[in-house]
Amino acid sequence: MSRLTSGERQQIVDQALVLIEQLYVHLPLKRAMHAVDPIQRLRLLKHRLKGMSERAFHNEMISIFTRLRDLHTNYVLPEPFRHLVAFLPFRVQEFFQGSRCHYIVTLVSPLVNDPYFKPGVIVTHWNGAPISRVIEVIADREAGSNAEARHACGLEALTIRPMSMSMPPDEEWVVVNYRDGRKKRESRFEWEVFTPDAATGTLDPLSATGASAHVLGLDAKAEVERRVRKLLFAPEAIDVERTVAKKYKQASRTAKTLASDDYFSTHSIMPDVFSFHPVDTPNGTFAYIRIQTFNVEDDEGLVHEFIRIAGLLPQNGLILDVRGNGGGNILAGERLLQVLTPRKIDPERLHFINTPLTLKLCEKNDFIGQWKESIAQAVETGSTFSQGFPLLPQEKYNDIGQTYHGPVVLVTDALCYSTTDIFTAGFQDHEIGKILGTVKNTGAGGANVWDHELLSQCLPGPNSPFQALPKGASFRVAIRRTTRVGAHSGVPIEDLGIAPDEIHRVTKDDVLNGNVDLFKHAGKILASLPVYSLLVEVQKVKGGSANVTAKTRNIERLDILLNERPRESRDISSGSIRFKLTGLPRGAKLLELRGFQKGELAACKRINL
Amino acid sequence: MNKKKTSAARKRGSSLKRSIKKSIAMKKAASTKLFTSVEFAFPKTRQEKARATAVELNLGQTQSLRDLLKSTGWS
Repeated sequence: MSRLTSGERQQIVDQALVLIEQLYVHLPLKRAMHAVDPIQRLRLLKHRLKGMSERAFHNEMISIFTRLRDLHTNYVLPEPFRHLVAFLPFRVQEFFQGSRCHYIVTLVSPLVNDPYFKPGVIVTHWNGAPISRVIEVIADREAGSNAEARHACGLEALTIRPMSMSMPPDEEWVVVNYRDGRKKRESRFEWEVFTPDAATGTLDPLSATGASAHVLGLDAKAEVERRVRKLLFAPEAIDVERTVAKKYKQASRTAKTLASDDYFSTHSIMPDVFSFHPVDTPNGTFAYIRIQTFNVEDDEGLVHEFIRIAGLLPQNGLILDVRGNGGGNILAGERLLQVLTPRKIDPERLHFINTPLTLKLCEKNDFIGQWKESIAQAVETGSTFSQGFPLLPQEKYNDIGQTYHGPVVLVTDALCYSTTDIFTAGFQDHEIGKILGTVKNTGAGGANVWDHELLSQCLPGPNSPFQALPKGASFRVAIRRTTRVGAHSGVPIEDLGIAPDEIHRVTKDDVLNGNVDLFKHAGKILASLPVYSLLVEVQKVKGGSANVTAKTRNIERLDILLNERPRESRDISSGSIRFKLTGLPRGAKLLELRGFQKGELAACKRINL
Repeated sequence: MNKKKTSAARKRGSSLKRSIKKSIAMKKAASTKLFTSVEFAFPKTRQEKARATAVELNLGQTQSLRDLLKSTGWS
């Protein structure tokens, strides 16, 4: 296997310096928050390259990047490590008994030979060290931006290490001590390595291409880990993926025609993204939707599939679970918000750091041209960051409107990252519902991430500061930071994350028996929130009129707008109302009904005439 | 006389206990040794089985971390 030459190593360090010094948007924040100096470390590495072993070089590069405590900004190792993942054939999760944390095996692959090592056994020691200490040590090597995120990353890295961005395990095998009921046992497991395949319809987390490549907000490592877990422990989910792909192929059906197939009343046409079902709780039966990832090319497809599956479920309350979701296409996350609220969505703003290189990038590329002026002004204003703009015009975040009118509880954890952080911040800033966290913060990744290849495409040519990297090595860099809107206007998400309204400590029953206690907690919250409903039917009649029937719940007043202009306002005494809209002008396209309760906007429905 | 007998019996008893203990310890050692020898005599068969299961699980070809690090000169 060919190794990197000294020149190639130097080339890698030089490119890292360009990215961190001239493009990395969080550099001032990371210097302040984590007291790091990546530029000096890179210069020292360049100075000490001679005589360094291959492993020591990569270890130092990974360490420089992980110490930034930013899951967006990575050094991606060259081949063969780029696509390899080291794994142990089981998963360990934590649960709480009172304030005490335990580590439990929740998934075991058929690769395991030990008949006693099964879901439910409690791990006590790892290579002779107490398991909690081992997780602490691994967590410190991970890039999570706050203590909760680092701990969660450390727990994941206990059994899965994408070798593209993580240091390989020091040990070649592990000896696990565990409690099986009252019996104490010990087992030994070898670290194995393989190359996971990619799920259909998702973007390559390490080098996304196409139109979505510049709107990504993703923890690439979490995305690889998610795929590995699916391959190792959920072969039935892989079967579903294949069945859906087959159904797509048959007679080349589209998402719309496919949805009418009975199979899709219980399965999503995006099986890697969604899973859903109704859940019974002591407070009633509610809808449950899990969004595993936002890593899709087609953001509009994701929003429409969400609308479809939410329509199949109870309308009196929704438990929306985004735990473990490392993000993806920012547009998918932000455009989804509108279907859950009657309010207009104000998208987050994105800012570059002000440097000559970011100015050059904005001058040469039309799609980021609007940032150019404020970066140029920095010479006079001395501002660190550019003016903030959303990725798309505001109308694009409000082109569908609310479709689910019941109350919503959003379930988060410390692995929610980037697009999922942005989605969660939007959920809170637009007061859509309550957030129930399993810990007191999210992963806190607030940026748009670009890879080295995309940067090379934006500034091509022999004089480009971005030079080709050897043997498939690469970088990802947080290039635009995101700031919040509404009550938190201007607050960055990076490192601060989103604090939930309530905390549910995961129980043993949750990890072994399908989140029963979590659902109970979420159900209790949902039952305390008002349920609104606004079902509208429109029948167009001749002569420029339309008969409108609206069935409502908890709504006192309906305002009617035509093409976004106020038309009339009606009080509702019983649950339903029928009225005729006359004199509809030619070109009347959009009818919007806004329902109010005690003067507050409570529900909204848009109908394309 | 009785007292002497009892004392002799006691001596015999404790010697018997020692020999039982020794035999248990030897058996234990032998079983550990046997287990260890199984571990080291047939590791490839177990690993091969695991690798075949990995292929069935759509993981494709797997290799040990040890082999990878050796082949890349990292260990």
